[in-house]
Amino acid sequence: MIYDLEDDYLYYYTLMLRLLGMLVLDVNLINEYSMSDLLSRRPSFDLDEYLSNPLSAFDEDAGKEVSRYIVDGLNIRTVYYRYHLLREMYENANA
Amino acid sequence: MHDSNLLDLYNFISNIVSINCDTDYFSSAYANAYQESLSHNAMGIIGDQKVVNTPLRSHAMLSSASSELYPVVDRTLDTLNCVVSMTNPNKILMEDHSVVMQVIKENNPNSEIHFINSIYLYELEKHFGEDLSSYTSVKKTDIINGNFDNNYDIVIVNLSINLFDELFIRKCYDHVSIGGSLILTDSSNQGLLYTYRKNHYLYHFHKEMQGWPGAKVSHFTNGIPFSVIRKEL
Repeated sequence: MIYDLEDDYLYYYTLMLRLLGMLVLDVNLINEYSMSDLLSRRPSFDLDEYLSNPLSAFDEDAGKEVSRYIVDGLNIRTVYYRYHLLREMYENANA
Repeated sequence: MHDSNLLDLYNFISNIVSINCDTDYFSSAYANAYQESLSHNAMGIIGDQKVVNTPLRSHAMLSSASSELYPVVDRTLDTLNCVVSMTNPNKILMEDHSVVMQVIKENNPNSEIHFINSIYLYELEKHFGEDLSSYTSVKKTDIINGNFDNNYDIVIVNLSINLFDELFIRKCYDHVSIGGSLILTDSSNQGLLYTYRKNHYLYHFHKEMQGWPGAKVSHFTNGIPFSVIRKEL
């Protein structure tokens, strides 16, 4: 096989660390500002409007920020699943 | 037409096209395909909740002719093949679902094909029984770290799989030769791009790609949507 399990496993390991690093930065951001501060930094954000119509609640820039948080969360979960799968494969291969 | 207008137009059309797909077709098709994938233990494929986001789920979706999604995938592969054929590539680099890689490989027998080292390559060799010993695999870490000096006419990368690694996608674009294309398959995040539109991260990522040197971005909505970033400079 030309597939290299060890390299694939290493890639996901380092990627997960990179994403976790991003998450820590986000947590620091949240610690630095209170949630109300964060929300007030988005002048077009309206929670009631968001709940009734998610598409219109954010302006473009704020939408980018919010979707970025969502995607980061999904990313870390996805990468963790993949990392976990590769780790199992790697450990089985080297058992 | 200016690129940004073009992207808006594509997104507008995509949204119209996807309204029915999202509600009437795709949701049930994905749900059925997912259930189908969970029963694929007999094929030696892990059907476990924890790997729901791995290629193994997609393997079932793409490879089973009984899946509701199959005609959609079929149409997507036709369009993808059409785009690749128009480029008439001498060299191809790819990481996508095993079925896609297999189809591209079979339809481009005269092209030099390199595979990005990933679990999809493992699948292709292990479950599809492909003998790829005469082919070259390229490590992702080498692409990211720049330990790799090669240009390709076509680079195919699955965006949904690699969404978490923008750096990798950008490095892949750097390895596209002038006149070549980076093809990002599955680039609508299962239709969520059309639901959330400007509030979806991928909308902004497409905008960002328009700013890459020489990049001309197009978004195809036929079948499972994909994007083509043509390098013109």
